Amino acid sequence: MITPPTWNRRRFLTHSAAVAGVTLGFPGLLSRGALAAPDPATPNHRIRTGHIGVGGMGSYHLRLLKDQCVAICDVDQRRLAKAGQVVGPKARLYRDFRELLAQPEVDAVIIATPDHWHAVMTIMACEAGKDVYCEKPACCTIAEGRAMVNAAKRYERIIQIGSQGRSQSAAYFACAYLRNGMIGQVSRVNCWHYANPVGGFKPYTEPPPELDYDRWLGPLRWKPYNVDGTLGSFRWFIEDGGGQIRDRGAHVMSVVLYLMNADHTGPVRIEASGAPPEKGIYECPPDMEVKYTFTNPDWELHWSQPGETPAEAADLGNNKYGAKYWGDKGTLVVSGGDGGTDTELKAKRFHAPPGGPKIYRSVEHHQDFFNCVRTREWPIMNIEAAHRVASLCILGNLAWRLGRPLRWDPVAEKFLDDDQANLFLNRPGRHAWHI
Amino acid sequence: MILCSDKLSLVLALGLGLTALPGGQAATATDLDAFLAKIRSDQGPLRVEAIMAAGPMGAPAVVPLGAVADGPEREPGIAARRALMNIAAYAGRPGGGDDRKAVAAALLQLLPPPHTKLVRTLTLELLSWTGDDAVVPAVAALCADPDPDVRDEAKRALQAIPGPASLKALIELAGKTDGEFRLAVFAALGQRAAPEAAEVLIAATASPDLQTVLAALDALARIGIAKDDRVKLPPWESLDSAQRLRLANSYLRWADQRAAKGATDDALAVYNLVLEHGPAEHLICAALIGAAHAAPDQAFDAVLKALAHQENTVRLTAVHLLEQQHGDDAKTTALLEAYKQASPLSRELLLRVLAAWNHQKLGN
Repeated sequence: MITPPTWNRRRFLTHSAAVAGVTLGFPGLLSRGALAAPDPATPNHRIRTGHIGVGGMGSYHLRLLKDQCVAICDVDQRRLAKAGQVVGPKARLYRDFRELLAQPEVDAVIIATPDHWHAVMTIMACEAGKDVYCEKPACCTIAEGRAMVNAAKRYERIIQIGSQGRSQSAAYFACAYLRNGMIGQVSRVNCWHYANPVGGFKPYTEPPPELDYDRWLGPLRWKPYNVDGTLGSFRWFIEDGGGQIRDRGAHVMSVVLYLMNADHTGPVRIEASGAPPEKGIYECPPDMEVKYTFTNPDWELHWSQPGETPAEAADLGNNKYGAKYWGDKGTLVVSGGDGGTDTELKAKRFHAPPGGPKIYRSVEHHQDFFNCVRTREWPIMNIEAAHRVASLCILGNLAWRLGRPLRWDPVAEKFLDDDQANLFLNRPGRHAWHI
Repeated sequence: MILCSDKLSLVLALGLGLTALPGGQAATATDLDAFLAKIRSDQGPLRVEAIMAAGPMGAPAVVPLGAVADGPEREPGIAARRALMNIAAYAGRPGGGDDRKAVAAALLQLLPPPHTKLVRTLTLELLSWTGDDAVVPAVAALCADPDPDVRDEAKRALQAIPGPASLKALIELAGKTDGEFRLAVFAALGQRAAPEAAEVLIAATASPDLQTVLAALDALARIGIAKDDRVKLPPWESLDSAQRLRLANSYLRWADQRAAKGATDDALAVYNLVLEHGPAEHLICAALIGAAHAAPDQAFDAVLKALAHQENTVRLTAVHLLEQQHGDDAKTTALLEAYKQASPLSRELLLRVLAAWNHQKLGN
């Protein structure tokens, strides 16, 4: 019998630079230096990042990682120039992300574009040998998400999606509390969130000269330029941003699937309701109710927008949204779901007994990504989990859009007895953009 | 307070127009007039009520709604477009066959000018929700529209509309268009992954234009056609690094498709080529993964050898693949033999694999 060795990652990393291997070379296609010769003293230092999309969250990532940033891309010239100033001359600037992906010095890309670009860019990054940190939600269609999972598996790439709530300590405590059965069998989870905005009253115009609108649209089907329909406002359109349920839902429901240990599956039935906005070009319903039914084990997930904030959330941080878990022995509230996740004191004080379920713990979301780039293990918000979370968001919006309950096979990832709904599993790309 | 499920049922009922038209009756002319009046209203709540009840209004409402959608009044125009979407969604419901055909036929009337570009492109989208072979000629005709955005929407609709007619239209289009649009049509054919498209794509590999050749090869890879001597590959030396990467990815995709179709030899030939030449570490990972899935026993030696690769990613891919294999006696012996020759790091990796296999045995 062979005794399993104690696996010492640090020792492994130290040795890896000295490994004698097969010398492989091919003109024009370079191997990556970072992983061949990692520096254990400064774990992130050698992982050089290329940033695609540097507005909003993208600017946050850039400021955080500017020391390791070597390339920046944006379709908005003003944002690109501003980002260049943040990083300085060591960063090469691009308007076309494909040129950034072609740079061998880029080890990992940080994608913070509008959602409709996530899948295409992530897949192309994997095909170029890059690891990927991509903002949430992972994708806009079921097929996109599955293709992203396949790309990660095909090229053995690391993809972390930016639903950072899972990396918050409160989420871990809540997960330990729940998975150790402290509230018993959970039969219902109620998510609450505030409404989608009503708006979009500006006229259609020509795009501003600094914006390459054709590249902003990319794979998204054509729509005329409107300042209320791009950059910060794309979120309020069903196909582009998907509203609160796909934006914040990708946080709140990420924590739900994490706690419910349901990253590998999905609901079997989805019902949605909500009236469209009374005015303006924003498309997403201000108020929205979605009910997801899971089986084996049986539980329901409710997305209520707006929903009732539970009394237990009164003293919690970031309680404008979150989820309440109903078990047969009690309840638990987790507020937030993104950077400000919080939970009740009873969960924070809980010490898991030995021998209980093993729960992956991430200390910090970016750090978890960089750790996994080195170990080649899947991170806490890996693409399979993120695809399943995004699937919830997509399915909820689709049930609303089609105006009927949908029956879903979470294994085959197809709708049952609804040919039209199955047409929405994928959407053709504009121009030659495809997954 | 209304319970969540009750509230849900109520709003769902409203959304399906059940209160507007009880018993599934067809909309009358009076119903339609009242509906359109609400769509044109300057009162937001009335417009919303009409949008939510639009579905059962069906085909007769399509052309009048198109007129409102084209019109100068912004909010009624938005409401009309949303009502059209609900009509298309409702018509495509399970069992809604005749409604769907009728709505698709009505939508065709919104395609030509002078309807606005906004309405024409929305209509093409809605035809992709409701259309079948019958709408294809009208949609295909718009692939020659002077407006490139309309052309592209028509191409997208052809990709989405199920059935042989849309595929045939795309194939014909691939043979007669040029430039960027032709590349987009190739991409659409690749997404359809239909073997019927192979001939036109194979012919395109003889194009003097490199982008055309690479796009055709990418689509052929997705289809996973059998080996064909007529497929022309660009000389490797003529390609820049990005083009080489693209071609290599197409090779690997084709190999994966061939493996999925049971043509293991075709697949292994590509995987081995990549492993032999090792153009980039992630391609080596992909080849190892493909080979190990297609023929685990045949790939065993290559995967074992990869434990000593210079790249961390390749080594760990090899570990993951070996851990997933069934460690029978022969493989265990091979691993122990390799251990004797291995570097300290490779020994650690080998031990990790042996430990995993040992766990498998204990588990069994």
